[in-house]
Amino acid sequence: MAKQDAKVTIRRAVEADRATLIKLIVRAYEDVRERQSGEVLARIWNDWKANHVCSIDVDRVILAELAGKEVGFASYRVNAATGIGIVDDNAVLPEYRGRGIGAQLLVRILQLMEDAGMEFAQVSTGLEISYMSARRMYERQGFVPLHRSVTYIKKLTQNAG
Amino acid sequence: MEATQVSIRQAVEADRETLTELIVAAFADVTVLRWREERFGIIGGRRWEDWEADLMRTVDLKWVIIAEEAGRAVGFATYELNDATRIGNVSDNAVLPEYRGRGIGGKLLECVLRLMEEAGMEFAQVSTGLNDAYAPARRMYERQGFEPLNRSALYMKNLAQNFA
Repeated sequence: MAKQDAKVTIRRAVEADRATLIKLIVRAYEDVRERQSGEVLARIWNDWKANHVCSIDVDRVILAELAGKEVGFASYRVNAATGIGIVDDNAVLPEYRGRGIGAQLLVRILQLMEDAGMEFAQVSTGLEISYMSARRMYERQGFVPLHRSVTYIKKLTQNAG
Repeated sequence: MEATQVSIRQAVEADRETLTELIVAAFADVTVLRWREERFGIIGGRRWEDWEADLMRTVDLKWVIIAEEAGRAVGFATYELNDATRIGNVSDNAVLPEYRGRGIGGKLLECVLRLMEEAGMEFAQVSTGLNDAYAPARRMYERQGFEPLNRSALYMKNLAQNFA
């Protein structure tokens, strides 16, 4: 957080932001190498784009704006039964990283969750090197690791040859 | 130790109550929900056992298989299909502690993989823990030809301790 940028404003997304938001999500995510490399990850990413990005609930999204331009987003969900809020997809455009914009988005999300009566916040992130700054950000905000997991994949020979 | 008398079958509605008890007994030493409770206290006024049992109260039993030995349900596996990606997901699965080490989990997994193939899936995906409690599960998946795709961390925070 060397270059804290004072001009960043955080605001809630509205329906009119949908087109901008879709472009922002895809651009902010596509440089995360793990999402593209290999057939399986490309498939998961394309499926996610097709089924998730376009139908994203804008009421659960906030945007970071810099000089009138949207440069980052964060989304969340709340669960009244468990009292756990989930920090969902969130990212900042590559050229605007390292200025604390992600942390500003996270702080606002945590406030919104508290306002919604949540007791806890939960978030999942990768253990690969490209997620290191994200992990540091969560740890700085008081998140503690609860579980580490691995996802395995196997080709089913009958159909994949 | 090969389990010779184990049979695998599709779960039916009459199994639901058994499955709610089975998931609690078989997950006791491998559930994140229990560790979450030990670290953060009771969540939403209910114990981890209740949250686990809920999974079996609401799951579509079409996607659940049961391992039976001498008429007793000793293990289960659940799975999901995705027709868009053709990647099937092996979801919750476990064997009662006293029946482990006999290949029952492996039999359940083989059956799930066959069912996924029959349903047209091209890949199978599964997530499991990285700590010692999951070492036997990881070995089972690796023996079955699964390869690591990515690793992730689940973080939690008590919002009452918000110092931001």
